[in-house]
Amino acid sequence: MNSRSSLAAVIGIWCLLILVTPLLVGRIPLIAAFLYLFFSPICHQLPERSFFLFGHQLPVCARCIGIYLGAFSGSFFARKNSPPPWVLVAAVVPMALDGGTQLVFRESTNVLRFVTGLIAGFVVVFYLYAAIASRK
Amino acid sequence: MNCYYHPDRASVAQCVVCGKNLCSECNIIKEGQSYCRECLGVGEAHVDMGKILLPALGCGVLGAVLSIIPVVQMANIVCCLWIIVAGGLAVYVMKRFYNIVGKISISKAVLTGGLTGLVAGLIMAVFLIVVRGAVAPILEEMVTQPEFQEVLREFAMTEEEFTDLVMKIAVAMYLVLFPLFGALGGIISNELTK
Repeated sequence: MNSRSSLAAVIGIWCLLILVTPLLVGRIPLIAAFLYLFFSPICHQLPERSFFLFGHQLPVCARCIGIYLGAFSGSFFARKNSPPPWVLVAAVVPMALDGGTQLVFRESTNVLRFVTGLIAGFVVVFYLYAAIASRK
Repeated sequence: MNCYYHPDRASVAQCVVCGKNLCSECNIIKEGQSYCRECLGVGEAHVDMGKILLPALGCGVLGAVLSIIPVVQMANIVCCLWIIVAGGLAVYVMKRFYNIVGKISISKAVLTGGLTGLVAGLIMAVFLIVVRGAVAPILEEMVTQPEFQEVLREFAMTEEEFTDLVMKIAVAMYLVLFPLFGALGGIISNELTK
């Protein structure tokens, strides 16, 4: 298994855990509870800022699932050479602006949270892959 | 001819010491001469544990403090941002403090970031135990649902016992997830500051 497949597999499993949690609520509630708990330290899990699947909330918010799905898709396009640092800044700025301004004077939408997260996640994984692929 | 380190790239120079072909990224020019990373001694820099501990400890404490301060802590809702930043900062600080040029090995970057996350996770776990419950808001609601009540009956657990179990698991999660995200920050920072 090469670096790209390994990275995509790890991120893919992470995304799968998130997406499968709502399915487990009615079927295996203890595992669902464990997964909600597992993701709670890294996400606020506010219902109004999260997507629902099969009538149940995802264990992470719209922005977080955007980041993870962006990272998953980005892992297929990443190159061995990382882009210059400004690319990372440019990718994170929309998410920071969306997240930052909604704390002060506006309320964002789940679609916007998801899209800005998706962009950031897609780009971040390029640096991650470059670091992994360039190791000796 | 292609680069010795990157066989998919054309070389632009040769190391004056060993003669390796080098692409533009690997070509290190010093006083007008081309060198490879080995001959110039700037490959993956050696880092021992002593150099890792202090930055990891300092940045771990910083990450935890930022994760606790009201309002400021809200950045953590984006995939543990403060912990990623703290892990990245630890690698950066270590490089600056000990004058390390170029990249350190990925294992050392993971170790530095991971240790930073572990320090932050330990502090957060203690903080949550002492100051407030670690129960996720969503769980509080879930426990009142019929499916959960049924499960609690099945396992002969009271809501209090369940909450206690949840607390213990939540603390364990901090000790697993924070090092994970700290390591992620360490890897990215190592790549950005190479």
